[in-house]
Amino acid sequence: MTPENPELKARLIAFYLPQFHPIPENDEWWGPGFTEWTNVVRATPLFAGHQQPNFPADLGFYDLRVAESRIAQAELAGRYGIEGFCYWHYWFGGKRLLERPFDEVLKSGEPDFPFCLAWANHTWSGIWHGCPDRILIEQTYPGVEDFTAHFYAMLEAFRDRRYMKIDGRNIFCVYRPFDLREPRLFMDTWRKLAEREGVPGFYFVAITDYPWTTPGDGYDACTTNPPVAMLTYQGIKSMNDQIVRTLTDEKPLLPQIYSYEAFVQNAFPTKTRRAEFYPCVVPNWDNTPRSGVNGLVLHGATPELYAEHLREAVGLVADRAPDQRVVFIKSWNEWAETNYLEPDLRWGKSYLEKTSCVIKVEEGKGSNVR
Amino acid sequence: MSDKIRFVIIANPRTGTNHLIDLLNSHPHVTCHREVFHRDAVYLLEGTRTDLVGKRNQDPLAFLQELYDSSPTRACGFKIFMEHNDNVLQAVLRDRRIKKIVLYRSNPLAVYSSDKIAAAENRYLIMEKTRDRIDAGAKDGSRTKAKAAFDREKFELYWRAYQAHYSHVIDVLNETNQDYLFMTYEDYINESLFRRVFPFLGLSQPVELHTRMKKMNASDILSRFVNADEVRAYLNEIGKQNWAQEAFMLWARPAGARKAVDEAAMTSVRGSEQHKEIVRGPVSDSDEKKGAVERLKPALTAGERRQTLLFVDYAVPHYDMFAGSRTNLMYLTLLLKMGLDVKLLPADFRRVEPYSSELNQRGIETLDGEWYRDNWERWLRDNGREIDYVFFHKPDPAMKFLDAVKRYTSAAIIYQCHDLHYLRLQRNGQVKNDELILAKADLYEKKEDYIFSSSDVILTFSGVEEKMIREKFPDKQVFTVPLFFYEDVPAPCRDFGKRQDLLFVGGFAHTPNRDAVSWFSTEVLPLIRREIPKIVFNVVGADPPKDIMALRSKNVRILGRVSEAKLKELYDTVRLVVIPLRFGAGVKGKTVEALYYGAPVVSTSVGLEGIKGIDQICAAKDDPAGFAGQVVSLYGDEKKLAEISEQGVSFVAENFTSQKAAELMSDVLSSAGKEVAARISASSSARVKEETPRLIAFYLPQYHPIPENDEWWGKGFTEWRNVAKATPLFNGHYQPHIPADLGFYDLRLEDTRIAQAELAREYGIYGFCYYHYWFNGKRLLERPLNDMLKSGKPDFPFCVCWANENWTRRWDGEDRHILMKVEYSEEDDRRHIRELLTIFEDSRYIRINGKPLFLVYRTENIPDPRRTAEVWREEARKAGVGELYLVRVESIGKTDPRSIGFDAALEFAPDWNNKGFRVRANNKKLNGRLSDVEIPDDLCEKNYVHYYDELANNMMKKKSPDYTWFRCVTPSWDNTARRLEGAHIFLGSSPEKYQNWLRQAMDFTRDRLKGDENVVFVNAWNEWAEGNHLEPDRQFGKSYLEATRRALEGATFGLDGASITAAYDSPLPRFVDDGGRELFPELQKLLKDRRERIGRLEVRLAEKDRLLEKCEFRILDREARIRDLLDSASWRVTRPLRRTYDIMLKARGKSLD
Repeated sequence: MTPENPELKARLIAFYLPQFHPIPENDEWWGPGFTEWTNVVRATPLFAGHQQPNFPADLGFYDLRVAESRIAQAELAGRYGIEGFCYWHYWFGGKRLLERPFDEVLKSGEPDFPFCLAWANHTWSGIWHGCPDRILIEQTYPGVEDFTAHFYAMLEAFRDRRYMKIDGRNIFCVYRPFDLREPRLFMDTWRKLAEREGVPGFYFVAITDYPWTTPGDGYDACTTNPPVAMLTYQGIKSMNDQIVRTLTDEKPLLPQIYSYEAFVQNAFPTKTRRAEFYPCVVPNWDNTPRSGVNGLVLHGATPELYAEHLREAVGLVADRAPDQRVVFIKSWNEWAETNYLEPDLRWGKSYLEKTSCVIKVEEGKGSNVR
Repeated sequence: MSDKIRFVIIANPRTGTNHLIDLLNSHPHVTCHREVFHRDAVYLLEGTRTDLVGKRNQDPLAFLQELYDSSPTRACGFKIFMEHNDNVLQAVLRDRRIKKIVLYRSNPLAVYSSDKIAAAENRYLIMEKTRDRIDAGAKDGSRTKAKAAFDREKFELYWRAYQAHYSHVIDVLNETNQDYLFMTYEDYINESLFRRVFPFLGLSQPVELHTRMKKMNASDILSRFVNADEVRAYLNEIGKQNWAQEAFMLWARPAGARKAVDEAAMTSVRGSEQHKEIVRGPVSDSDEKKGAVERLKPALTAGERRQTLLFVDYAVPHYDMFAGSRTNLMYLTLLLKMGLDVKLLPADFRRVEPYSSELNQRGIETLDGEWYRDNWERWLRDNGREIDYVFFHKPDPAMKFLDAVKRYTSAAIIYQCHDLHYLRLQRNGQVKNDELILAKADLYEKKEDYIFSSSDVILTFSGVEEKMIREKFPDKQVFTVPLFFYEDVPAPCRDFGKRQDLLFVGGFAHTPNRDAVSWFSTEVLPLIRREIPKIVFNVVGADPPKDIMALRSKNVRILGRVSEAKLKELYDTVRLVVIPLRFGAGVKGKTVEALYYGAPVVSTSVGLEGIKGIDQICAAKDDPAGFAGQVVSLYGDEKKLAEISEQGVSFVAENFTSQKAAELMSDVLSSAGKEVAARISASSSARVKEETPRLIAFYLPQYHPIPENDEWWGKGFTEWRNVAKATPLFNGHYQPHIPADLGFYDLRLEDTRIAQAELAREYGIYGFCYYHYWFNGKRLLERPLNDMLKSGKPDFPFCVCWANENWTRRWDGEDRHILMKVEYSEEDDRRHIRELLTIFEDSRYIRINGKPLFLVYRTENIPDPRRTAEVWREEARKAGVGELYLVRVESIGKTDPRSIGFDAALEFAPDWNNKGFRVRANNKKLNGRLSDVEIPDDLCEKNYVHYYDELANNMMKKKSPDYTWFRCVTPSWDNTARRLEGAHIFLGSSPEKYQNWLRQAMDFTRDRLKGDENVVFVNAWNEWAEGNHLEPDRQFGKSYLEATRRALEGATFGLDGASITAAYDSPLPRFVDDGGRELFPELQKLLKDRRERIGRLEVRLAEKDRLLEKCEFRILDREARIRDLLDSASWRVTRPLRRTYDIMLKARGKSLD
């Protein structure tokens, strides 16, 4: 069964944050009732022209425990040409966090919308929340037993017909491939277990930062992790000096500010324009709602610039086999990073409309019609 | 969506799992399997499946998964034992989706014995067939015949493994931070404990429990062993004699009268309704078996029901550590023997073993654990009617519970005054010459006076105290009862030639004992030694401190705590017992105990105080020379010693036996019963006044998208959009309000609706009033209510208010741009009420005098409201719902509700006609009123800015109409979020002001409205876009909820509501009332004293009736904690304290340097 849609030029996979519902851990760390929305609505403009706060439109301040909200997201994404969601998945040596939305998607069969998983294998510190010294939960790698337990914990997902594949294998992304101790053992274990359980094999995708080295441990492919750690290596200069400090008389602290346009123009360094890389696009970015002046802003993002950015990425994979024409979008709903395609009160559905515009094959021009 | 509940019972054979499983399976939504992982078979609920063993063993976890998934009911579980598959246990333990019930039996011998027998008979599992056989056996009294052989080594091995198993389980659950329900076999004595299992699983309580208790073995555990004597010897050796006893079962009948059910009787219980005569309570024990104590029972039983006594103490009595605890245990046992259903409420809510389990085994329910700690008040409210007597002991626990007991029960209050606490403090203070102690004594005197005046009967152990109390409270019933009593009196060794030396007994936690030993050793003993150089002073008592240990010499032996046997031996071998107490109050247990053992006593007057008639056998000596002289003169006179010994024993026999105590207690209880009847009938009008109103909070069922709002306001619109978009208009303007605990919730989510109700209930809200939108057959925002009706959750009272306004572009009902229009016709009235009647029939629906409470927001909009009311009532009668209780909301206008056929009216807050003056640009006189607020002129003109306290004051000044009128208050109000301009903003609201307003509204209401009509409304629970919510937000946390609870508690005390303000940040806090008068001069003085010693202090002050009843000082030693405390609006850090106190003041003392 090939998932590719001949009406689409490429396969768009959007990273999906399963937050937006209270969990006991966050209640404890950030105060009762904490969700991403708490940060989103508390954002304030930090410099003239800074577009904060941003408010959700069509989907509202959703709670991901609500099945209707999850269905509405998928309907919206599907309608505008996104093939599926890549759910961030947390596994800390046996403990999962924020698992409820995905588990319910899995269990209920709804939304009937493709998905894959990305293991966010990093220690949670308070760094993005203003207290970098605090370790909330630590990522550990206890070994093969943990790999096995991890596999079995997610087996139901791997068996699900909605799981997205490349080359007939389930796509599984690893957020920090170099942190993973014994990556080959991890992947071999999982491949063996997949065989034993009769589920499709794995197509492991490493998410890499500068210098975009491809980990030689048996990963099938790579993608990039824009924008934070990449910018300077892309030759993009901070625009902090250009910011007019008009808000107060005192010299205010500023977040790191870069031009989104400059970012888009240098989005794919040569090293990442290789066959083993899947491009990753960023519609917008501003994590000051979470981090305040410690954050980073891609200033001046617009749906139009994003469309250019996406078009370039789609061009990069145009010559590949249909199922390998994959472009990752970061992200579907990282609201506290102002990094989302979901409709908001400022742009409405423009980002989605642009997505659809770029990705859909114009009538009569089908390059892919079989 | 999956809302399946998975659970597991982690237990062991013979811990009562089958009973629990029967109980669980009697719930319609539960499937509970048995030993799914038994080595030889898979025991499913449906039956034993040996054919599944292979499949199960191949992949146990997958098998379990399938079992859970294929369950036809919402909840599914099974039990797992330590001998089962450990991999499964470990996986299950760590799987957070599976709820854990841990079942433990604290009597290892019982576990072991049953286990052995079960093994011998090969019936680990009691399935239907064998169960019937056992029941049949039970009927002819033969029961089980097999006996086990006790092997000490095997038993200890088994026991160690058993303990290790449980500690592993608990460790894992704690480490992984999981909630679990820990139940003990002993909990079975108590149905309410048992029922915790359903809320724990997230299920509603079944109306009836279908279960039966099997009696597997004779109650004497020893009889289960072939070598019973060996077992008994073993138990004696390890000091666990209580393990020889089986636990009792005391279960309430499902409905109506309560009766005690002993375990044997449970064998005949099959279903509940068919067998009315379930029980054979101890009341009907055959007469010849009755002892003297038991014969007193009939007088204490009211009809069929066994009378219940709630015994309140500091903690579960640690009878082997404290004399007072020992006395309490004696009384607990006596009261139980007298036929009462005795429950113990330890004020610290802690379970302490072995004491708690021992009480449970005797048949005394102990109300301990987290649930009771958090919900004792609710428990009291729900069970208050069934409590006949409350027995208090000591002032502090009495203060904690007394008011609630009076509020929620009509129980007779018996206060046992162990000694007059203030008297003890006073004496201590005088001896030490310490003003602080004297000040504390003053406080305690006030406390104790309050307790005495609130009690129906006062018990004291001392004739002296009886007299003092009678003088102070001439109308009170006061009894002197024995401190100690004995079943029989032993024959002591009267051959004083063989006896030598001196003895003192008393624990060192008790200051007077410390002083006594020290005084005697240093001032009296040297005088005695001049005459009798070799005399040894033996000192027995737990926890001797360093200064006492330092007294050790060849003449002073500090023995610490000794066993009962050793103590008896000491009493038998010493010549004299000395009681050199210099302060302390009340009867001394040690004096009576010495007499009981036949030991002659030399004592100070404090040591003899209050023991009526003691002067016949013992003369007090208070100075060192007199005391020493008395010891010396008696010590050598063996004949005299023997004589005194005999007198002492017969004195105890006359005054301190259980027979005597039971007779007295029988008088006490009947006297208490009469007193309480008199108290209640005399104060019935006062009681109505004291009744706390029911609080109903308006509930907005928005917060979920609906197609209509999508169309009118844009896709995805909910109130949260307006709420979050709001911005402060001026300095000091509190906007936006960001939700805290419940988040940006979506009311389609059941979890959220349950969390709201739980929060509301926790803080004393009685119910929600849902806004209901009906537009000629079309309902809007109906889903939260409908889902709640359908799911039965949350189980929280509610009523509805018809918001019969047109929906317009603006949210205030003005007809500018109509989105939805309400149109009225008789036909619509009928259709409307028929739909509502289905809602009124819900068991959670709030009724007033049996009539469903229905509110209409704007009766002025109804063309002929009288006719509408008639039509509604007519339809309700026709449908069998009966009468309605109709309330018009005074949103606008003040029509007499009776004139339109309504029952009552409800004022609405804010009342737009009583807003108080408006802040305008030119309104200079208000400047400085709220120093942190600066409002630009144009904002004053564009918006309606008022003061919250003006609103509250003006509304409370409204004239009371002569119709039934419900009051309403609002916590805060500011609808900036809904408007660009023209917003109403009430400045300066605070939890404290809201509390005062609410308290006034409640006082007003309980003075005028009785019974079911004693209701006050709060607008609103969750009108976030109006800045009008009790729900927690980021700024205030739960402060408004806490204020609500404080107001509820305050309202019952009839306070006049004077507000007290503390001057924050001043070097020393000052407390002044509204008129600037200084309050609490005593406190000020104490504060000053304290401050000289420490730099920082936190003052906690609780106002009950301004008597400073609870006042204590806590030094906060860590800067960070102080900051937390001061900076947290919700006082999160002091949460446990907030539960204890009614009003708390934060005050900060500046550092001295």
